[in-house]
Amino acid sequence: MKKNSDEWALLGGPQSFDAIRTTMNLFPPDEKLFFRHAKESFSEMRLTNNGPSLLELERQLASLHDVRHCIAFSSGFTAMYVAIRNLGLQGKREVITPSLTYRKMADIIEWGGFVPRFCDIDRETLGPSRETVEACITENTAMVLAANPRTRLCDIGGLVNLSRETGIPLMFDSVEACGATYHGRMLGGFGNCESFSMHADKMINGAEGGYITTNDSDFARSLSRARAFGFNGPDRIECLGTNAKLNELHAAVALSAVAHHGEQIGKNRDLHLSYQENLHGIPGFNVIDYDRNERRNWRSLLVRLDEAWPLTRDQTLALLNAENVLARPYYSPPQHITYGKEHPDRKDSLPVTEWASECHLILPFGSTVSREDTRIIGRLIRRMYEQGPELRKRLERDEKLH
Amino acid sequence: MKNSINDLAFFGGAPLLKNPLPVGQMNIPSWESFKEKIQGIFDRRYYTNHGVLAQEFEERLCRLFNVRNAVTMTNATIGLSLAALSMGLKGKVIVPAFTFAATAQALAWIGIEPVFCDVEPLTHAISKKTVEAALTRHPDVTGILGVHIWGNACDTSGIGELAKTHGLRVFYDAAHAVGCTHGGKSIGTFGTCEVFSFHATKVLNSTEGGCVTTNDDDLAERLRNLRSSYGRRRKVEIPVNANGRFSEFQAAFGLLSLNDFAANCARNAGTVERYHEGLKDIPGLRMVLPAAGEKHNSQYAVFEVDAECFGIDRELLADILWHENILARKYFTPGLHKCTPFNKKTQPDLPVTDDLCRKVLQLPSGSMVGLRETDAVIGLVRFIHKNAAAIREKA
Repeated sequence: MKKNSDEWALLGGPQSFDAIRTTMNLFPPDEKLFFRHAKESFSEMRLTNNGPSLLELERQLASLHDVRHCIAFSSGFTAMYVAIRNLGLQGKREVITPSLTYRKMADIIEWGGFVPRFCDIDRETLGPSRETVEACITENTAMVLAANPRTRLCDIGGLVNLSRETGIPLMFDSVEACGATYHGRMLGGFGNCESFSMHADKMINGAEGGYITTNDSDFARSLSRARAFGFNGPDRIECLGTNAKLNELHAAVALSAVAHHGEQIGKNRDLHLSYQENLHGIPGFNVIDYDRNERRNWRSLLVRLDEAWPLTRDQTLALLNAENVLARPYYSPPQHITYGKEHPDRKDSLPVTEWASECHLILPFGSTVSREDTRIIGRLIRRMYEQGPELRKRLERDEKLH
Repeated sequence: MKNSINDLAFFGGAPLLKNPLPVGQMNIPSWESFKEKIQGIFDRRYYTNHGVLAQEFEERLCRLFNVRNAVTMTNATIGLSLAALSMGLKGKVIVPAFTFAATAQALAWIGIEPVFCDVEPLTHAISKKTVEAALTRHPDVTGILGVHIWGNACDTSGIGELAKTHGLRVFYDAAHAVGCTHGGKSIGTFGTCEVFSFHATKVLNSTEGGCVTTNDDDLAERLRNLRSSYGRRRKVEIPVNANGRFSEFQAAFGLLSLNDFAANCARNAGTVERYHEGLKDIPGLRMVLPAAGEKHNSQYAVFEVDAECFGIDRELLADILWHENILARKYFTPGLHKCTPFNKKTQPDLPVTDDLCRKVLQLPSGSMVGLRETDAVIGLVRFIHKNAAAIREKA
């Protein structure tokens, strides 16, 4: 395959795959289990508003994450901004968050009633650390929103200590780390709360949905009221509420996924190890490995390109995408750049973030990718390395390809 | 069948109904049709992100509302927020205090300050007059959010005229008004846009869900872009990223509900008619009827309880009914001008709103309320009125 540069799909050759391979999880739900749960909702004539599937889902997730409370929402996006609204110190303005994370984090913070203050990240973990967050604390700080990156975890211990010492509330966005442990403890109970997503392309496929985990019972109560218009009883409103309820059908889809959580992690691990085998020893193309001493979800194939790799990250992506291998840049451009365009007073310089956003990518993973696919993709990458200089020359010459 | 007031469950008797009778529509499709529809989603392995069912649902909604664009949303509350964002509304917006909390909350979440206005005593809706009163207090408002309460349209032409004079935008919360018309025209086509609800308690049911309708294609495109990158027809500028996605599961349920829509409206009309016939001679009980000469969904059986004429007040009546398993709702109370967080600011006197918040009661209607149940409720209410003095004594 790809005996010379002409054979690359981007340069006119045939595609390696007929159908796309994506980074979206899209694990098919357990249909029997879904219908079993849906039947119960039907018989109670309860399709939303704390129906049987919703309650069961919250119970199971609380157990999975080893926390007292799980509060499910219509989406991860909404779960986060409702939590932020209820957690951030009132009268303060800024939420400290890494720039190298979900591209809509700044918007979520705005929906929560605050503005973002972007912090840099640690070079090894690619997540925020005590040092990088502490550098951003001012008297305007309302809370810290620390996102766990793909594969590694951020400096959870350091950030928890910082929160305790300063009294600044701390929330972890653990969407990418669902199922992981930190020093043997399941993610879910750290900081004031943690957020997770159940969108179809995430670890738990619930079609749409998200949830917050916490050990703080008062906070849990305020979240469950806020998601149902702030009602405490039929006639009393206690806070600025909204409709962020998760309906029974989505809860049932999520339940059918949670039941196979361990099994999915096992499949992810097999796939990840297969990729590692097939990408082994390719100069400059470094797969970031999962910590073998802790529980992980193995759900992301994160790659760091270094100087030995002959192409830019974006050239690499262009070549792969043309083959129907829908690899993606890792959080690029970073938020402080895009946000900074409209808010020049927020234009901080974050050197580690800027370095990381130029040289990382994620390879397709999840239900669209088989072990055989990892072999083919491995061979593609190897060919790309071997023909790198030639490919680079051609791509840079041909303006149409930019 | 109650013979003496001691038979009332409120005073220790057995409840009239074995199972609770809710006010919500609870229109649920057959299990078989549901299974088949959902199986299609599993077979296609496409669960959300504007799939074929969501697209089909939007097309059918456009036909139902006779409108160019129907943009489905996670629910009506987020629909209201995204509608306001797509219109570029900022600052202050006039909205009634006599409405469901979501109407004003949706504005507050995007930084808009609700300016509450009163409503008309007969219709329970805002009018040119009530809006003008609010406008006088706050001449710097930028828009009006009217509510087509109980499915009866606001005075859209009066309000529209007023808005035009003062350079204000107008949109409507039409959560109650799926399938209703105004002057023969479908609600869904008035103002800049309108927002509908497909919550499980509504006549059109997608479990949770809603949509924003508009004939303004550019506005529609902003709505689609705000909702998600999936389902947009072209990329346009939006003020902030949001999430208002509507899944294939919601669409499946909504499509099945649409199939039953006409039948459910007809059933509701029968219930409302029967309540009206059975209670119209009772003093102190005024039913707010579906607007005459219009198409209607008749999903609300709404009454005003005048304590003096009826004999007991709305509170006690609701309490007595609840004990009998008749889950009548005190809808709406309290008025939003008195609710957290809006009550933190000084709010105007809204006498009609305050009065309605004390008087309005919703009686059960919907799929669980057949002739027998309607007659049981009617009989009980008549009994309560007849024995009001004794009940008041004993309570």
